[in-house]
Amino acid sequence: MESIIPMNTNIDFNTIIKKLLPFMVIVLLAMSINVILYLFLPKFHFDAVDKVSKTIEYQKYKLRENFDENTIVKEKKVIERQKEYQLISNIELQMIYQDKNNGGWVVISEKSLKNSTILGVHETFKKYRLERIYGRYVIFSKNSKEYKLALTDEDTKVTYTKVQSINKKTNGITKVDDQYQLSRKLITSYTKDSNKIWKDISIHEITKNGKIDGFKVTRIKKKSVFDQLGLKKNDVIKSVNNIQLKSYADAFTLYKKISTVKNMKFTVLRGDQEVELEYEIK
Amino acid sequence: MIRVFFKYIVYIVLFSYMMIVFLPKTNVYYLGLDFLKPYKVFIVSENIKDNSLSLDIENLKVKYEGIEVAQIESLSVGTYLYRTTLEIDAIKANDVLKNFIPEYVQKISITHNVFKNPFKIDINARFKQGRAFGEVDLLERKVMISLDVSRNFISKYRDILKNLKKNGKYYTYEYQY
Repeated sequence: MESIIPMNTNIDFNTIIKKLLPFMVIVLLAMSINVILYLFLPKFHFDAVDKVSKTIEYQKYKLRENFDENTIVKEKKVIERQKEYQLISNIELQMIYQDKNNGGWVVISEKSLKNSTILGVHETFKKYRLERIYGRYVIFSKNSKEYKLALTDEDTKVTYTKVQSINKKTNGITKVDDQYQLSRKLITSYTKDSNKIWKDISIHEITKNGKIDGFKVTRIKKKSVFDQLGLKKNDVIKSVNNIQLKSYADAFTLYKKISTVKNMKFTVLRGDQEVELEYEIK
Repeated sequence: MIRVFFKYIVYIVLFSYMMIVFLPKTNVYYLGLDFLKPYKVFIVSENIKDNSLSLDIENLKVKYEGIEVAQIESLSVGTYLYRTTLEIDAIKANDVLKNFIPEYVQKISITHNVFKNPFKIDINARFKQGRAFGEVDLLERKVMISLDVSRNFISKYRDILKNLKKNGKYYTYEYQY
């Protein structure tokens, strides 16, 4: 006798599908909406690239220096050697004191007299103007002609001295011929600790037609570095190295790059007058 | 009747979840970056992870006009429908900005919880010298932030704190938008 096992294979797929259908429709609907959304959304984004178009590297064009570094210079030097200066016969050069910037002074005397005179560059003696000082001779000019005066005695002492020794040096600032030289160390000390800046100086943006048009110095500590650099209260810093400060980003760029620059030029509005402050960083 | 009501509630919840799961979150993030462009703010990130219910971004650099102003270790936006969070970890400000804002913020957490209060967004931040907490009132369109900071912080950021209201031991800032 065969046993009959009742098997309930009567699964109602229709009911299951009917129950699940709304959920499947919801999932498909959500997926479809997002696919359509995806078509309209940006597929990629150009990340901000470090394109700092602004540079505060300031090139100081000194024609003389450019000549000294180029091949033309060599030609010039040759020409200079070949150039025959007229000699001054009645004046004797006794001593040369030359600094590293080709400045300095000389001790000269008239041959007929024994009195010596100290003469600096661009000073005049007996209508002879001292133009340049070289290692063992100097060049004078008179009536548009140049004259050479050399040391007569080989034992005569030529003295070289460092610029700093004859100039005022305070806290890394040196003043040379009305131009300030700042030490790199001083700059670094400020970039490493920006709190030092705000202890000495306060600045506030000046706006014109809703846009930044420079930064006004609202406070400056007396005898601070900024005071010694020639900045004054109420000065409006318009540009640095010919780059106009029209946003805080410009100021940040300056701050970030300051440790690498060699020269700095501040254009400052003082009252109605525009003043330029130049600094050399060494 | 109630059964039908619950059935539709379930459908709505499921639809919302599916919308979040299938949402191309990375692309939405790119769209967000485009909105920041007019303000000259750029965000560069190394790694973007599109998870089912959240978007995690790692090693972000925030730039303003090409200048890096802050670095962020990670940013995460997530939602469970009833609760949406934005968490920002380890924000390191640029040296220049450290005089205006804390140079290192450990965590900023912005949370919206429907069950807690659907009309308020909570803000919490933790940094080295203290913490900040506050809320955004969506009805009054107001942002209120209180600072609970150490003495060091008070002496360092004295100029900025002058602009805030002193309320007991907290400094408070209010902004109507």
